[in-house]
Amino acid sequence: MSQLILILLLGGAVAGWSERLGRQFPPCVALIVLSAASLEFLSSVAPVLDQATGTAQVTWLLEERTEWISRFGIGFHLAMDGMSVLLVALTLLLGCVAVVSSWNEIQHKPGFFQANLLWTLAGTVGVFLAIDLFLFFVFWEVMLVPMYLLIAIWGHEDRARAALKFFIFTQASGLLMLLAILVTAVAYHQQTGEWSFLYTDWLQHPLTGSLATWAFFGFLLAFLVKLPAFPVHSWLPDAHTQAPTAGSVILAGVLLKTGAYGLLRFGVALFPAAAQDYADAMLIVGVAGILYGAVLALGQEDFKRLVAYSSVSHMGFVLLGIFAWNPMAWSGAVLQMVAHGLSTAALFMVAGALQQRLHSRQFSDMGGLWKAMPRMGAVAMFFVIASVGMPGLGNFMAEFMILAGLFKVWPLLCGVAAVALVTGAVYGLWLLQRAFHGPLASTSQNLVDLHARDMTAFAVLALGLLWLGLYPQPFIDLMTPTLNAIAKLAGG
Amino acid sequence: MTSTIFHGLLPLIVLGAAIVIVMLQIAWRRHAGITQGLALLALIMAMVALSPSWALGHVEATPLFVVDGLSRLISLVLLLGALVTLLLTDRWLRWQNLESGEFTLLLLLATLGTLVMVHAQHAASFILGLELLGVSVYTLIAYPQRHGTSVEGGLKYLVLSSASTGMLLFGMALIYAATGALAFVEVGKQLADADTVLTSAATVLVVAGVAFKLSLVPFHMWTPDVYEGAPTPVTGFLATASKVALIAVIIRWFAATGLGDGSVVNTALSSLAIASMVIGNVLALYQDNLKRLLAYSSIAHMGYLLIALVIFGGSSTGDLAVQAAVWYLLAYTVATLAAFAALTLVAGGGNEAPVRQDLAGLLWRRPILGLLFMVALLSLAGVPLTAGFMGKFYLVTVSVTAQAWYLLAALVFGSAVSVFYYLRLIYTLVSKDDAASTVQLEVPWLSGVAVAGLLVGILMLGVLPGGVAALLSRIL
Repeated sequence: MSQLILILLLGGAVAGWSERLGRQFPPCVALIVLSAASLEFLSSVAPVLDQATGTAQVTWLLEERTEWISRFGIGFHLAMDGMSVLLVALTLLLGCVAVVSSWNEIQHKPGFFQANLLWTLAGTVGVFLAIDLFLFFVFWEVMLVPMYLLIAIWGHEDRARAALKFFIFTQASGLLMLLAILVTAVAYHQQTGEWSFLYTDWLQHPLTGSLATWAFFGFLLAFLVKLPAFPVHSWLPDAHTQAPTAGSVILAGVLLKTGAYGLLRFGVALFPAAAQDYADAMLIVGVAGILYGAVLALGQEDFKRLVAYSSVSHMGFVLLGIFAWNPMAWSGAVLQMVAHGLSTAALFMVAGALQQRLHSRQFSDMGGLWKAMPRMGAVAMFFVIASVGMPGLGNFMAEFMILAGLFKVWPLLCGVAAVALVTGAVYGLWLLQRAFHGPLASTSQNLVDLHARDMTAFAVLALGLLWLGLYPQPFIDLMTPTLNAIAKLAGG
Repeated sequence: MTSTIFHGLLPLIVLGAAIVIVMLQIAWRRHAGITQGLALLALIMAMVALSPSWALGHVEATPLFVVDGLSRLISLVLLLGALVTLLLTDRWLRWQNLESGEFTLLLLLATLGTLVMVHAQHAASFILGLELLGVSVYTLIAYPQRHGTSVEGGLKYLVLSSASTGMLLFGMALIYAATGALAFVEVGKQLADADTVLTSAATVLVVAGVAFKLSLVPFHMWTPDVYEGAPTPVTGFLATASKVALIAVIIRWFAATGLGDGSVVNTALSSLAIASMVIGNVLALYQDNLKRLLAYSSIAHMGYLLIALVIFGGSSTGDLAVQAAVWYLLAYTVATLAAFAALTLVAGGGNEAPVRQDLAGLLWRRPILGLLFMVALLSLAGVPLTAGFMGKFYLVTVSVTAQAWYLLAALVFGSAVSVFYYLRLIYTLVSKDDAASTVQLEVPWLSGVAVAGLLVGILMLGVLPGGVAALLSRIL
């Protein structure tokens, strides 16, 4: 696992350096690096996929530790279970998609661009694998700085503000998480006399009382900002809109998932009592996000902003799934992370392709594009319908499971949340109609249809969604041990 | 003088002897290369002279001086800081058309002053070191006499710094009146029977004097002006060496006298810390001139650092607090020196008051300097994998252990605000380069060594902090 992260980190440096050989090299190198990382990942995971080991509380497939800062008992400690396998696979897949989407778009310093892309991915993979909370925090921030640079250097017209806002939201909430991590670590130190930041050690000596509630809030806030949940989401529309296509793909597809992952892995499991106390409030926040995102998406004139607000809405479902507090809804939440990653990444790619051709993201400059670019129209339609929740595709499966899980605990709220499926259909179809139907509005000569390279990427994403929608059982089987373990922690 | 004492004080002796030699050399024949070579040799020799004393443990060198883990470590940091400054000024003095002899001599004298302070365990040696440092630094600030701002800065620092030294002296005198002692340990012993009115008045004066030197709010007014007026490499030296040495003395003073352990002192120091964190960071938001910006940022950083001292003075987690303070000093020193090094080399011979726009696209124009400045800013902002993050980590750990929630709240608020101005600068560094504003100067190789050392230092302390953390817990 550490090799995986190392490949991405060093590969980033190599991709950056390869610009000296020629402008076309960095994306190739990045793709090779990602392939190498994927190979390493598959070869290490495949043999152990059905042999979970560990205690009753955790079910690791793989685990490794190197001492790092022994003064504070901090280790470079990584572990992988079914849930992280899924998310790492998603990260690597979307990494490849992002590289493909940036192939022609990035002309300014392509080497440094690919380097930052790979470093962000390295940080994200680290977040999904770290079980030492100090290391987790380090990776949490490592994915932040390159992402900031991606937005700040290669973003669109208002990039300075968007990048700054993104960084400040995440950094400030991250500081509170650091505080929460240290509160827990110091409490552990006072209980046992030893320093440790290890997740499994902390599970043995859970924090109790009001300190647990405060520590939980620290984690919660950082994760809610990242997710993003309703009142703290406002960085997201700006960052997504201003980021270059590959940045939006990674941001929406993978970075948002780290918030949900952290909430499930650390928020719920380390502070079950505190989390359950605030479960109802969080459910309401989730529903508020779903509705708010959907309503604002309806009013957007900017393609990327619309997709960004739809992300707020869909990630609200993840929050619902987590705090519905049963394994069915949790499975749904993890599936939703993957499905939303795939469908939104594709939509951002469509937006990027349009921006490259029209130099605009406004619907007023679009219309009738199906005639000029039928392949792109078909692709957009597939992914819009997926994201709207068409049965047979991944997003439907996930949202259905979340709502079914929620129905057991709070039927009324489940009904309210289900309204969003309708508004989702409205803004989804509205988007399609305005961009691709009607008379051709643009006079641009530049309306070339999608490239074979792009189509391959879209095909992979579409296949993934179909698989998730038609036969999700393998994915559910993969994460069930993890979720059962968390359920045991949360129940007792 | 036994051989233990001799070995313990060897760095001071080496540096003192070297100063005499350099002075004679200048009197005999002016030659920039020889002077700087001698100074370089002197600093390296002093560092080498530190090594035999590591094995000696705690040495009561004289009634005035003590040699222990703290003094050795901080001495090493100060010598390295002086070395970096010397390497940076090698070509810079020529660019500025300045005489190098006196400059180098003054730098060595100031360094000797800081070393004396670090070893001080007696009010006399403390003040002696402080004044040696102070007088040298006034002159260094005003060294380029052509520039009005430099002379203004030097004069301002002279007046205010003398006033604060006066306060400090008066405080020491009152303590002497109350306890009849000047040695830190003696003061601690006599304190129990001393007149509390006198000692509290004395403590207030000492705290105020120190707060002046550390530029804590509300004693910070001089800082931006002096930083702006001083020649850039001197600003870097002023911003690090004088603060590092003073913090070391304060740690020793608190440890020996226990004067940091009263509720009044504690409240006073906490208020200074909170005010510095909040006001320093907020005012930094409004600065366009980079030296002023770094001045406000250093005010804020001294506020963070004070957290460790407040807790050290007032609780049982003393050891960890000292380690936190020392780590933060290390991180602050290396990052601040790096930032000023980058500014020095960017400005070169010309622009002595760079504003944000001068750095537009620096990462593309001069990648090494851009990288150095960016890493320094990230470290000051406390982003992981840099020295600054470990500093914040230590501070937060200590404050959580001591349950100092108000200080923590100010720390979090200050850090969040600081991200804004550091990030804005980083954005400038990476923005598209449209103004080919500054002269293109090669980085001279000696300065290149300093740049590489600083870069490696920041990243080493951030990526592999284990070794130094273990060292700190062993020797402090």
